[in-house]
Amino acid sequence: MRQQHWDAAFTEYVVAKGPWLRKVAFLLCQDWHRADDLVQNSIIKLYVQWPQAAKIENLDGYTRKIVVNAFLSEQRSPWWRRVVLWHEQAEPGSGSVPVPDPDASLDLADALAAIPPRQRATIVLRYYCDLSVDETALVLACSTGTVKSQTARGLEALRRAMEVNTATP
Amino acid sequence: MTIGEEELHDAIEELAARPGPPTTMDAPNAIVRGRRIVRRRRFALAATTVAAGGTAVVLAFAVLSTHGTNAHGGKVQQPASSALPHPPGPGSDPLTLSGTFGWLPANAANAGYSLHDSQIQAVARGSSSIGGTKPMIWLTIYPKGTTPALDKFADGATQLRVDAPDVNGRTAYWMTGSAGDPTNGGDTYLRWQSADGQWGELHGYYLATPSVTTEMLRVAAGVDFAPHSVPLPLWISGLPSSTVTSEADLDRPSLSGTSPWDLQLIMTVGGASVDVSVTPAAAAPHSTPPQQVCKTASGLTACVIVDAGAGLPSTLSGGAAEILRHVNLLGPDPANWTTAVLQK
Repeated sequence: MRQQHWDAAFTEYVVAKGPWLRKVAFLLCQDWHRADDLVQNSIIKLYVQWPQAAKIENLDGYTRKIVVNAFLSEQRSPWWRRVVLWHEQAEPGSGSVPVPDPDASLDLADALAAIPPRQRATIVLRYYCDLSVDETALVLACSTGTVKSQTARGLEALRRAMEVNTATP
Repeated sequence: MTIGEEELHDAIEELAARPGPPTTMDAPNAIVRGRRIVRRRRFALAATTVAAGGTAVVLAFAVLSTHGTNAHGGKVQQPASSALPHPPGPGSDPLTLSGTFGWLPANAANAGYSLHDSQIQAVARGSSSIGGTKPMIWLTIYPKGTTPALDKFADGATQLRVDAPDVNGRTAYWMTGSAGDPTNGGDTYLRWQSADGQWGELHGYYLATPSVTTEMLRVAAGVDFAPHSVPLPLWISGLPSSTVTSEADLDRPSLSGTSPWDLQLIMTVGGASVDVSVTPAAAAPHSTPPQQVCKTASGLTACVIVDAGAGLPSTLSGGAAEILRHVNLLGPDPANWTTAVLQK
């Protein structure tokens, strides 16, 4: 039962890794609904590649790369395909499940949202996913020099944004 | 507040740990959509071998030529109820297939339809799931003159032809990765020819029956290779004649399983993308994206979302709200649905 085996293995993988992928996506876009759509679109792409992807040694890294690329390409495309997904799913718990006040991390979320997407992706990969400069360069398909400069600019922009946030009454 | 690299690391961890609303990630939905993509790619490959010198045909969903008939000369289905808004004239149906199901097994008896990249397929799905998976049978009708080729499955296995019993007296074969297993491990493909030589293909999985091959052959024998326009629960006026439907899905039940059916049309109107969805009102999502406009009438909810609205023709400068005004809903009873969907 080859197909069933694939589907079962795929389902097991995305159920296990879904929460982590969602966090990565949320850090990239600062919106839970959009993060869900990014992850959903990404796992569709993962499924299409599953027969090959399942054999990859670093499947987590491969899947994370799909999410990051989906986020970056979304920035380039005016047509957010997420609207398609919105139609398909009633949002479980929408309006009924309270979202805790982000409080301590609110200013960081705002600051991340304020910096350019590619710098944001670099920051998330370096400081949340703990990737090295070389690994980040592989994910973003750019040079290590670009990663270093994007990191420096991203950090600087982040600091500026957080200073502005803090200074704003 | 300024932040060092160590603090940033901790703050990002803290932000990522922040609880969010329940996730809407849906693995079964991803499998269904992923299979559609895989199937489209395979279809594109298979259709490259053309016996009669033609090319892969774009299945027709042209504008109707005469009042009361569709592009293939068939009768347009009009709403039976006088209380519903009748389409005022001829129109086209984006879901016009080159064939449709006849007999279906009881565990996969809900026929839905899908148009993607000019390829239209019918899909029979089960309502009940076995271990979280619903039985599905996909029907593809290859364009006349096209002989589908054998290639490779997604995992790289070579597709082999294994002769099957004739279907209605015409050639049929299983497409499998293992010559000794015509069911291909439960991911079963059957190709056969119609009386006039046109090729059809069934792809069934999760059928959970001890006689998969018998059922697939029976489904194939019942397929009608005649053009078939699928009645839909709406008609839309005011769109320019250049409107192209790039995607259309009538899913029964909805992929999310929360509704007996839902419909989605994605059209290119001028330079804009227009997404129209229809669902029974009781199953409509409570929350919608901010750029989406919705209305409920005759027991159905329709929503419209427009991207790149600046590309809309001047007659639709009101954007999504204006397009929604042109959407007429025909209620939940399929007897009242129409094939004159896109009005001239």
